[in-house]
Amino acid sequence: LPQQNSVQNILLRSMPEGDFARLEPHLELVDLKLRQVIATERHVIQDVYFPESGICSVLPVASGREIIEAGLFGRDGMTDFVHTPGVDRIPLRVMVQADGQAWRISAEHFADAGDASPGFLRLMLKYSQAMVVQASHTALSHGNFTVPERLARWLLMCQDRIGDDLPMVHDFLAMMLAVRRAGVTDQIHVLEGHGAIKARRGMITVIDRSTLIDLAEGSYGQPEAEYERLIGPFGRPQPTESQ
Amino acid sequence: MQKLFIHQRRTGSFIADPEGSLYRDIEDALDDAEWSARDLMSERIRNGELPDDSSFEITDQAGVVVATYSFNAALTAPNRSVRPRSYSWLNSSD
Repeated sequence: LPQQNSVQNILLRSMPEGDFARLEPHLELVDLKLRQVIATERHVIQDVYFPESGICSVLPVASGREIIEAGLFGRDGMTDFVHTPGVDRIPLRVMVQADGQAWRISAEHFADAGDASPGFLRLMLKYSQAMVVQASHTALSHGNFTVPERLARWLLMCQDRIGDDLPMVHDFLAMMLAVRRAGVTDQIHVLEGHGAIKARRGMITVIDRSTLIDLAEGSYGQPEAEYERLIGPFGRPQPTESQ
Repeated sequence: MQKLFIHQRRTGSFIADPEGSLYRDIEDALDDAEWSARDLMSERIRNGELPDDSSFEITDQAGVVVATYSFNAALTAPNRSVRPRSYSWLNSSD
């Protein structure tokens, strides 16, 4: 069974001991695989995932073919961002965009924990607020910022969650940023020219974070500050080898 | 389906497509090239740049150029296709 002080997921670490103890017997460590759908707009939520590593995308889908990234989370988050008693689904898809692991718990046991503890529910609601702020800033970014600014913001958000080496394929990145694949290739070339990143097939490495922050032109930072205000510091992700 | 790569040539520089993508055929890749050219040009114009002589080179896995697409073609020729938007993997995982 997991020990609260050894888990990487910030929400699990942040909850009162008694609440973690209530969840603990029901937590199961599972792998998250690229493109795995762990919640979908078409089904009742059966399980709730608390990532230990990796990245998940929150995706509104329209007409079965239009899709964009509205938010993302890793060890800072979880797949249930509504927590409303009696609500068992949400018309959003959650898809894994970088491999990792997660603690999985049935929606039923998760709901029981909320029923039993106002403190637990309060933490969940704070997380909901943090996600609303993140999704709002993602909308601002998609609408008012250029592709390189959006890409810089997105790479910073990924770096916060999994470190400097980001295993990203351009095809998937294109969907996240709502551009065509050639546009991603073009802008990665531009960011490389600034010395901010190094790209090779299937991998982008952040070389210079402060340059990326400059290139994001103010589109990065507010949701991260709100998360830290409400819940706690992100800290630096642990290297995979030591997990 | 075949894997094709859409590289970009722009004012003397070559921006390689390191990953490629699966297309039904070369025509399918040309459709993607057309809409990619429109996206890139509109982004550049929005950022204060002028249209230039950029073009795409479409190659197969052996690196052989199988087609080219000039960005100017997107400005002067009628649309090749309805904008393709769906992602082939979108509904594959659930």
